[in-house]
Amino acid sequence: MEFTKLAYESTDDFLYGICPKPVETRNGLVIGGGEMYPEVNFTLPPMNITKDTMPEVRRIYSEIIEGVLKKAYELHAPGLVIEFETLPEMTEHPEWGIEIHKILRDAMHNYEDKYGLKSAIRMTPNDLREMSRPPIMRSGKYWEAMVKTFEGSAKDGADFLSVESTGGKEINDEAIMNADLRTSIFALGCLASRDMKWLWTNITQIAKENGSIPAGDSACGFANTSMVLAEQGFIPKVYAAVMRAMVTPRALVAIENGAIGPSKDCAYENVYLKAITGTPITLEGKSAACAHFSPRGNIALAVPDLWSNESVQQVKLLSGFAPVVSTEQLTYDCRLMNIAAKKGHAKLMRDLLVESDCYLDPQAYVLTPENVFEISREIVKTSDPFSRTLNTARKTLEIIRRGLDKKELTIDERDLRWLDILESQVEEIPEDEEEFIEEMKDEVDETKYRPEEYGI
Amino acid sequence: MGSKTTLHIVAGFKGAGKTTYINNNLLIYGKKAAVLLNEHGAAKIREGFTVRDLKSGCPCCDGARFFLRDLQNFYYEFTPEEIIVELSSFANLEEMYRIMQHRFSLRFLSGVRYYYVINTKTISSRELISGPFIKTQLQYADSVILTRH
Repeated sequence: MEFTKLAYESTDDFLYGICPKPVETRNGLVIGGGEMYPEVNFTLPPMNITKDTMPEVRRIYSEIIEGVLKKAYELHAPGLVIEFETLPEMTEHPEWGIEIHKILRDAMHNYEDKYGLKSAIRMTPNDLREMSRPPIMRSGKYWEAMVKTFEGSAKDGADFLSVESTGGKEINDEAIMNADLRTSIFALGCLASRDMKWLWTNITQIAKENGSIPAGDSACGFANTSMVLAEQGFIPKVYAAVMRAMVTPRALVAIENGAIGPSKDCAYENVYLKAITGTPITLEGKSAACAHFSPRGNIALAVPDLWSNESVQQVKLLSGFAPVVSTEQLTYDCRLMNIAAKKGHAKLMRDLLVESDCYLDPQAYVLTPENVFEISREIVKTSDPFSRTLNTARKTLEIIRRGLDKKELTIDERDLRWLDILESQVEEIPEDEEEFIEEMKDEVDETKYRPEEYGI
Repeated sequence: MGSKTTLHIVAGFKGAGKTTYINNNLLIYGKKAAVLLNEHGAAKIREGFTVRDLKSGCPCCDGARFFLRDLQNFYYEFTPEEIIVELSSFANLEEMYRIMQHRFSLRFLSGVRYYYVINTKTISSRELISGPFIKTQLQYADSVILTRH
């Protein structure tokens, strides 16, 4: 499947809770069918995860899921998605991850049977492959552990399979540090995209064989790392803004190789994916401040189909445990969004959320529906990930520049200087991918990655 | 509780000379010191001292929730007189300072010192990229080390 045009004719139809290609789970929960649902993610408090502590780990996850489901039921949540994002030890020992998945899934079934609360579970194993350096992408113990975790949880009834894959990250890590767009384009357009094709062909196959839904992949280690570092002043915000849009062609490869959504919460680039593919998406914004800060607290809520909290530890707050607190916050947000849509105010709601953020930071500005459509149209003009990535970088810089010229976007002097630098970095990149790869082979530290693992 | 330990937290960009500074100034033969590494650069910690990777990742972001735990485990395993943590380039001294405000459970610590290592040859280009970040690092460092290599 190759996308050559957008899934929407007009931004007026680009709304939250609804999309052209909704996804339905086995128990009939429809994502993107007109209603927005909360997606709750949680994790352990600081503790060691070993064979000896596994009884305590099991107890804590049981306690978390009971609390979350109880709160969702009490608040009349119309449905709920739970994400189980494993901790590395739980993917290294697939039997642990699968066992916890079962604890969560059983509790969710129980609540549906007893109280009619429909829910679905997203299983997100870690991409362990980066634990060997340079990473071995297509074989070895880390890859095998990932496959076992995907397969075991899919057999156990995981509704959605997702991952935050790390192909190309070993090169991009240093590029981020240096705000080096040229190397990031190589990492994303040439390396990550090739890995995504291979990875998502495999994940889709596992999902098909076991009745799960291949959902999507977040470029967390690329675009979110950039966002967090920009927040700390480590890199310019305009670089993080370009990175956000530029990871979309990589994410699109998952959809072109079988994923159908809902794509993962921390992928703010999901808005471009929704515009292009019409598949449902999850997002997080102010609701994820428990995990990280962001300059897009409201705008992120403008068009998602699921609304998430990223992740929160099982720690006690004044009101209760943090995952239960997140469940309440997300459920109330969804309640408001759904009632606004039912009364015919979805577009007004969306526009208020957009306008409250979009002019204050370039990272929010590139997420307005109009800018999302403009960037997305640029992406589908070509078909190969490298051209798409390069063109996305150019278009995003153009949009930021235009926003400044129109005096509607605010950026500081430092970012203004960096806009010039990034524009000149992009100008020097050749249009031909093979030529670019040859140039980059000389520039990139060859001890950092294995080209053969990417088929180049 | 036995003898107390001093914690040295060393930050700086990749290539700033953090490991070289640690080798030449913080690791003193005859004193039982141990190093937690968050980033592997070109230079290596010299032989004769215990070195471990910081398993929990970058202590000021994702790994923050595990850092104090890892530090405690490390202390009880080796009981060093000095613990030196070499941070990754991304690590933020402000965040480390905040994390260490919660060190009441780590009674073995007598004090914490923060170092920021700067390579004067590359600082101007780094300042262009990371100016605000560097300012914050300087605010929270007890000692600023200038290198030139």
